[in-house]
Amino acid sequence: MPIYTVFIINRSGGLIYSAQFQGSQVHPLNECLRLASTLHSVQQISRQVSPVDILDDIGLTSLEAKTFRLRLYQPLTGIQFVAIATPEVTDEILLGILRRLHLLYADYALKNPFYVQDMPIRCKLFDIHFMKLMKPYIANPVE
Amino acid sequence: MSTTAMALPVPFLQARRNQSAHFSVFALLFAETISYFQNRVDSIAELEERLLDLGQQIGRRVLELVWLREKFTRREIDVLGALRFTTTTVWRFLFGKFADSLERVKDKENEYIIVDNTMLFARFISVPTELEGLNCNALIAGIVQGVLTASGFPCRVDAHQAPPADASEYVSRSLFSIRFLPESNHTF
Amino acid sequence: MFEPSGERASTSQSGRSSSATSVKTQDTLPSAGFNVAALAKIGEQAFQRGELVSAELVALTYGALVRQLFLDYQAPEDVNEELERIGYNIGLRLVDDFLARSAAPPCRSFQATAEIVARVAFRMYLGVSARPANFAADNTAYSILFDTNPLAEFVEVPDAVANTLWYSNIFCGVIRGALEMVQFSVRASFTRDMLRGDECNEIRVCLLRELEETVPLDKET
Repeated sequence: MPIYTVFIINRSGGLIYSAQFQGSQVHPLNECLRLASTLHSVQQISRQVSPVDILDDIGLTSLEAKTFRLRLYQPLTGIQFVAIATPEVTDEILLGILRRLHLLYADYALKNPFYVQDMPIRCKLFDIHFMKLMKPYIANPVE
Repeated sequence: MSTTAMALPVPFLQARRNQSAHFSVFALLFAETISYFQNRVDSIAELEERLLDLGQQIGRRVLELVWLREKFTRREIDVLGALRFTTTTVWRFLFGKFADSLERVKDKENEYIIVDNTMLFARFISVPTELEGLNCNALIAGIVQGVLTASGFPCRVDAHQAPPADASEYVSRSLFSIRFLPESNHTF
Repeated sequence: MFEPSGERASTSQSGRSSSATSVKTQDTLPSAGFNVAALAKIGEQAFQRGELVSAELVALTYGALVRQLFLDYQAPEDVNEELERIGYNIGLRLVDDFLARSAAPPCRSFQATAEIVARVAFRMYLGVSARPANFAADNTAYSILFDTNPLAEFVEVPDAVANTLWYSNIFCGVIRGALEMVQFSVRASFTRDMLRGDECNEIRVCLLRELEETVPLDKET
């Protein structure tokens, strides 16, 4: 039950972290950037089309297709954590992973004085702990 | 020194014991302190020096506080005693555990190394390639230097990084080399 | 050691809709619809579960930083400002830590932030109790009161700056930064400080504006 792709998208829709794993079609970076910003917009729109009061709805959280499941986790700060996996990976598992990813972000990105908020995450320790977190869910990392 | 320069907080005996704060608070304060200095220095060496200076200020107060806490009534009279006190009592106050080892540098009378395998203070910090070589543990080195110097043993402490003792761990080992200055009237 | 437990994950998820509806009312319920005891418990649990460090070490480190600022800036007004700025940067980053580590219900109203900051955040990060008070009639301001200030534990402020320096001004910045990240632009300032002989510490938090939730926060806009 592999995970294909993980994205972290900042509050303005910019892709600040991405990982693609074997088994999936690998998209070039500029395509990922477009994908991320589109996903971000769709998420925003999904809040606005909500029939109930906007405060009560956090908008799009998951998306199911024949060949994949997409789970999105957005804490109140507006940052988005996205995972795309095979459909048999349950929502709960993906949400659990994304919450732990949020914690990694809070620790290894935000507590690093050399990381600038909203910018791409280039922190060695973040990468290491990210791979440790993903290890049970992937075949072989592409990058 | 300007008169407005504030003295560091002085520990009071009646201060509560065992009060704790969340590690995230310390980690972010540490990170912001590094950012503060980073904007005011031109080189990695200078940044480490600023952290070391700050650490020294902290170390002197740590010593006073530990003495009060542990109700120590005597001062250590030799270098080795002061070092042991640092790697045990002071270490426990700072990190909740003892240092992993204390070694004397071969063929050097006045140089020692403190080893800690799990120094967690800077564990969220990835040093970027453009600052390669920066060791944020300089702050801890400063604390150690402050403690020892205030104990009556002037010295110079430097922080070094070493590969982890256990390859499966990501936290690198931290070494602190201590070189006592001649005026430390040590008795070996 | 920091892994959020599954059951905690579901608490905050389900808490989202129920508490959000109740806090929207304009009645000045001091608790903003929250169960005060439950919030205190959430804060205490997050504190107990967290990795802890000696509060004295935090106090000494902060003291050394304040001393450094005095050496660099001299004027206490400038030190206040710089402490606030440093706090602001910490707040911007601390809020994600708070959301990831606490099971606190989300702040959907300005009033609700008073409860969350005072009852959960103070307890979780510093192990001390704080309480919200003095809500403005139009709900655009409140105070946070606390009697124990771990940062000021060992401090004696020199007479020369006793009436100008707000020693713990970093708190104000942290609150401003953290609330900005959850869409509330505020100004926070100390109005009472036990270091000045007041009977408690008071931080006044004033709402400047609510940021539009659906528009991405951008420095240019």
